[in-house]
Amino acid sequence: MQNKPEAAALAQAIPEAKNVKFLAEGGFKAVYEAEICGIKEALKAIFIPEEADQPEARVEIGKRVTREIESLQTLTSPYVVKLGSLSPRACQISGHEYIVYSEEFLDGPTLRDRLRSGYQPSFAECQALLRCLFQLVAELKASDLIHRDIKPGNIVEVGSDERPFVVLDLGVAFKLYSTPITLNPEMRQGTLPYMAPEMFQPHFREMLDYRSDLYSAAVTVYEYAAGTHPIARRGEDDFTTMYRIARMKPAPLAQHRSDLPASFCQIVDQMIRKKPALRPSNIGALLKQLEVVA
Amino acid sequence: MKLYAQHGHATRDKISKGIQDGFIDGAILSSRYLKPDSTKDFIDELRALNPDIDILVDPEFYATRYLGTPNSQLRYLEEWPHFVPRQRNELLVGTNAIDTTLKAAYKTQMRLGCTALITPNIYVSRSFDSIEAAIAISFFSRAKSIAAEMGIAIPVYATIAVGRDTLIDQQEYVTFLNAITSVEPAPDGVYVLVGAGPTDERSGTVRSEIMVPEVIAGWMLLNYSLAVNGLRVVNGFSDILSPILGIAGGHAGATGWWSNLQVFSMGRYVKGGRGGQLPLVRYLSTRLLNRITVNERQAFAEVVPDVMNALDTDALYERKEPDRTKEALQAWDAIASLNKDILTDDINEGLERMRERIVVAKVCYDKLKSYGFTEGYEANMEYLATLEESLIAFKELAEI
Repeated sequence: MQNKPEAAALAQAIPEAKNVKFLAEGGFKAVYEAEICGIKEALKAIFIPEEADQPEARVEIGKRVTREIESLQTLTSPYVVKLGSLSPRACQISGHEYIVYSEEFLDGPTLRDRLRSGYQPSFAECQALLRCLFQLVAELKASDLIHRDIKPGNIVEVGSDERPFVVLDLGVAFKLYSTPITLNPEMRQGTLPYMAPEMFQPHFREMLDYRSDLYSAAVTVYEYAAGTHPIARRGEDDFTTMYRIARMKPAPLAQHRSDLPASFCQIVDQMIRKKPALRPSNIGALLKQLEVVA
Repeated sequence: MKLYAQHGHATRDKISKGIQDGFIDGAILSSRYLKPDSTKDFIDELRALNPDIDILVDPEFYATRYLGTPNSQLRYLEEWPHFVPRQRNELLVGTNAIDTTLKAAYKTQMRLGCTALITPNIYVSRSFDSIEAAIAISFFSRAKSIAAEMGIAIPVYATIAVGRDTLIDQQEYVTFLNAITSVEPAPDGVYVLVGAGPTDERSGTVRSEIMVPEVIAGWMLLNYSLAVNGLRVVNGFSDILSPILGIAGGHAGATGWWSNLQVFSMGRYVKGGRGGQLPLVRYLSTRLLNRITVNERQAFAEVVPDVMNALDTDALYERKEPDRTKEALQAWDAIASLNKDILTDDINEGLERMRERIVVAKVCYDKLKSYGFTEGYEANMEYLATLEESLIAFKELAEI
């Protein structure tokens, strides 16, 4: 992240935040652990570039933060992160502008952490993950939202019965039937290995729908279960990855996890088809199917 | 996979015999060949033979394009309340005309006691990148909503009537598929018609314009994609392609006794200006995956007995040339038997079984050639190669 604020400087700018500790960073944002009114929360600082440096990015980031917060306020699913007690606030830290707000602190590893440790999830965990993601995508769909960045790094394994997995970061969410935030229509938001093939079509925004999220969800479940990404290969350049996403057929999940029920693997495999029309679109039916998987 | 009779001219007792003898699971009745007033009696008669059969009525709205043209042959279609010409703009702008047409068709079909409703739609002749396709999607997307508004509880099958060329332009075709599979509320199923050029009454399915790998694979993809999305696909005029479409997930196929009931063509609504003899009675050989004349059947069977199906309906051809009813029964029996032998729950297994059947057919034709039966050999081998290529092309399209 450009101009990442020091934890101490952030604590100074947000007096109600105590014990601020840096956690992670992305393109324009950094996340910290902090105590706010005695409760541990995740404090997010989003860098706003100078007007003169990047006028378009400045506007875009502002709109993205607004959309993310509005979306999180709308969504009631337990499988998405909740807003914290600190409302968005513009502030200056070390001469730079930021928007700072808080989300609930989720105590648990991300699926990316799990993958790095070589963890192999049980069938029950894989089933629970897919169920959570299907239910979340159903709610996003009802709100005309496409998350666009479902991936292991954005999913925390909380482990409770009510919330086994929670999805983070609606920072690049796409709102159907509204003016796009990204001014360049050919700019693809998201994380390349988890992007659905239709994202690489010209005028992709005109045809994007929730099935792109179902694709990313299935790629995530596949990777989590198999310990390897179904399509992308480590160390390859972006163009090769794009080619793979568009053309290469992944190995069936059962080849990596023969212990998982065949019908479960088939659901995951079917959801990562290249053509959206080949991915089952009825989430209600998918959930029922998932429940009867032996 | 279910097999239906595709109703048409000179029905007489063909469908009732087919139901009575258990060769078909139902019928798709043509509103062109039935008066609205007499259709209910006909349906009641059929249902009395077997109350469990499926009865559908094709509203054939796509033929309204021929209303008022000098050489059209629409027969009773103009007597049906839904068969009202609509201007393209009327169907394109807003949904009033579409809703009115759907309601009229549903109302009539409900009164007739159909087991499922077939929606009206227009024919998309050349490309899915067209105004026709936009209108067709509108009909499709309104199908279930209007049924729900009318409190209709029986299944609704939205019609997709397309020319074979539409299936060849893959990019536009896939865009169309992506659009219809995201429609909500989705219809319960789809009634698919894939049209070729004007059908010659004397040419069979295997010599039609449908027999192109891209077209067959595209038709299979439609079945597969819709089935994956939980929709039942009823294939009209699918004839000998029924088992192949069944492998891809098709719910039903249909065929009738004339060539123009075995391949769909918009040409059937236009006077062809040809007369002449009736087509020869033929026998559908499950081994050859093809129809042969009665004389060929006799001659072939003497040297290659395998060309016989070994089904009960073989007896209908034993003494003399059978009539059209017997010919229809034999064809239904043969297709039902192919369905039984080839279709499984596993799509890969089904494709493999079909491939094996094609190999067997080629071997049979080679044997016949070695005995001097060379007429049509090249064309038949080409047809079988087309089927084989279709399976390969489908696997590619369906990402299997």
